[in-house]
Amino acid sequence: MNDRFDVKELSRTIGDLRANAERLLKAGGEMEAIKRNVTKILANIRMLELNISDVADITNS
Amino acid sequence: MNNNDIYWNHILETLPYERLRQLQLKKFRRIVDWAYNNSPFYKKLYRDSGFEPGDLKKFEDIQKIPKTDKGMLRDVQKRPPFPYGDILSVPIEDVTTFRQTSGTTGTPVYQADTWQDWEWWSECWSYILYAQGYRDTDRVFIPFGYNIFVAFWAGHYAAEKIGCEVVPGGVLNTEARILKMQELKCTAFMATPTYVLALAETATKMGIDPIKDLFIRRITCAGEPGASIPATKKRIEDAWGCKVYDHIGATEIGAWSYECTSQPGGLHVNDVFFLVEIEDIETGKIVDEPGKNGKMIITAFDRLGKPCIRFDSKDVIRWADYTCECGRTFRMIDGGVIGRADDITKVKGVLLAPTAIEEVVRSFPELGDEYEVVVSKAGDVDDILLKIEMSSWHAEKKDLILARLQDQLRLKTNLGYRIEVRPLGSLPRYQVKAHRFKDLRKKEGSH
Repeated sequence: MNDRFDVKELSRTIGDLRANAERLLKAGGEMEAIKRNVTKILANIRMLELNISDVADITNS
Repeated sequence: MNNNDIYWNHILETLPYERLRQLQLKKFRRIVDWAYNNSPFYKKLYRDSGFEPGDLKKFEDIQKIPKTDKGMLRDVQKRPPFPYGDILSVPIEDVTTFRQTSGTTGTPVYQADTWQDWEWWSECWSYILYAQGYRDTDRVFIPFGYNIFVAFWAGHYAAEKIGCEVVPGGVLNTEARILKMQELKCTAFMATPTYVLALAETATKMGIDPIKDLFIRRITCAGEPGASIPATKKRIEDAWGCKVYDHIGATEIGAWSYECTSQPGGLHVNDVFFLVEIEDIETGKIVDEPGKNGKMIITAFDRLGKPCIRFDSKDVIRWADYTCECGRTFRMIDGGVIGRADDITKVKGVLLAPTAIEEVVRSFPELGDEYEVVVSKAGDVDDILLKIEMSSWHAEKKDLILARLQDQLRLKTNLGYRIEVRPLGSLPRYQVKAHRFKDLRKKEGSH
């Protein structure tokens, strides 16, 4: 069932999302409307990391 | 959305055991490292015991790490930053949500959550609700006055996250809630088992049959162990004509366990968000074998504002000796929370768990939903008074029913009871935490 998805690829895409969100925060974080909304976006990205990225490097031993 | 998929996250929920253990160790190390470097409380706790995060090399090392308990969480609140104390692991400005425990066992514990922590709460509950069949076609009613307690806030947001339409029934009274559920054709609701029964009772009094006149397909219970007590679960399912699911969570921990639609008699532990250990109450050794009761030591891997690491919850649980046909590899606890280590008390020299009384009382259809147990001292001897409700319809069979009840109570608890029969509806009704077990011996002894 886990073969339906390429977990490592999903994890890379989530990493790109985080990088983009952090870039936006750095560029516009002095504006409250950007800072607060990106903070919420980052919290959601964290949930994707907990759901996907955390397991990407866990291999069968 | 793929509504045929029974998993919220099939990758994690079906992860093979070995990989699950690897993931747990990785996440345990991460939260310990975080707490050590960001919380003065945890740094001192670990340093005083001679532990450094680098000592955590293999799974078995986890048992060497000091535990925390509610008393410690209360004490730390006396220190800055107000009102949480130096267990706080983020700047106070990052805290966006305040909750507190009910204070049933003493001073309430204050809980700080960041926005990310709060998203995590919803995520935990999304696992629960999805496993219990909630989908974007559900209209979910929450008959509860949301407040400073955590109850049902996360259930609300998780239901939204799943795509359900959520109807908050907070300030309405019981009758108005029933009418609103009927008017909106709500398909699911969440409440304490006590209140689920009270809703059915009130609906019936209003001339509304919960099965025929309402549209409820599933109910999620929280706050009390009732939905895992077979007699109570049956009583609720009979009253509502639908499936009733249990879940377990706590303010200072998170929502860590849940029943799925397969309902094999136990609850799944969310092993990817929590590490549950069971400790033998007498020896303190970790229990891995099924069927042996012990108290739960729990870690929330991903809650950062106020980390919960190796927390002695005092909940008594046991591992199940069966797996679930749903295919989840998450471990199972048999029968939910069996009791609390500080609730299980000696009466007449016998260990008594209040849930055992509930199991017996609720298995008698002739008795009302409510009951109350009062333990006191009559001279030097313990006395147990059990107050029950019985309809006048059963007056002719009263003696027979009481004799059967005494037999079953003795069989299940090894104790004799004085029984007081009250009219239906005369005992207190509770919406949140029921206080049915009253041990007056402690108060008497304190004078």
